[in-house]
Amino acid sequence: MKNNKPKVIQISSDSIVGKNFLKAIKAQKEFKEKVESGSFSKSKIKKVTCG
Amino acid sequence: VDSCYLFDFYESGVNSFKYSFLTASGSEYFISFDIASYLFHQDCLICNNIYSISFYHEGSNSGYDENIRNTIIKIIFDFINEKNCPVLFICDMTDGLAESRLRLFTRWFNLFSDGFLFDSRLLQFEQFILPVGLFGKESDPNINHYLEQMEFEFLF
Repeated sequence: MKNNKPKVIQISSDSIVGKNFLKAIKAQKEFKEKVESGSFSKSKIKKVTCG
Repeated sequence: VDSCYLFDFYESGVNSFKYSFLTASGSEYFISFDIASYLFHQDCLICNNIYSISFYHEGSNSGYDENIRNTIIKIIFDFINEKNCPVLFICDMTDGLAESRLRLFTRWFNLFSDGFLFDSRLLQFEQFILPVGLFGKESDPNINHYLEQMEFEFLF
């Protein structure tokens, strides 16, 4: 575990990696929208207990 | 993790795994793991099995509930153990609390870190900062290299 302040990395939103992270942010937003639309709970496989 | 909520597991496609649980106050949490190798260079062989995690919850929580924390941590650690993969999380920054989320995860991790490692970075874009963190098994020989690989990629 590293307790120090996270290292800052400069990144351009025009770079390939930058664009990919923007896609990931968009995917997170789409995940929320999917939950809100009720399309999440259609394929339950199993219930898991704690422990 | 001493106690947590029952949770449901879903498999919604290749390389996509989802979980949900209901809290005592009636709030429902949704968690999704999706393959995230596309965030790394295609030549990075050790990056082929990295998943990213997304969260969302519906309803409001009435007060502090440590079972929410416990359940989320258990789901993450169980997933890492089962898939033998690291998990990257990209902090939601839509409400201005992204760095607070990173600090929260760091605190949570410190409580349950046995056998696992955690590392983080702040990705400084032109207009915003995107905090990211990575959970992985302590026994993973590459655990200290995943985020370094990310730094390497940003040079190009």
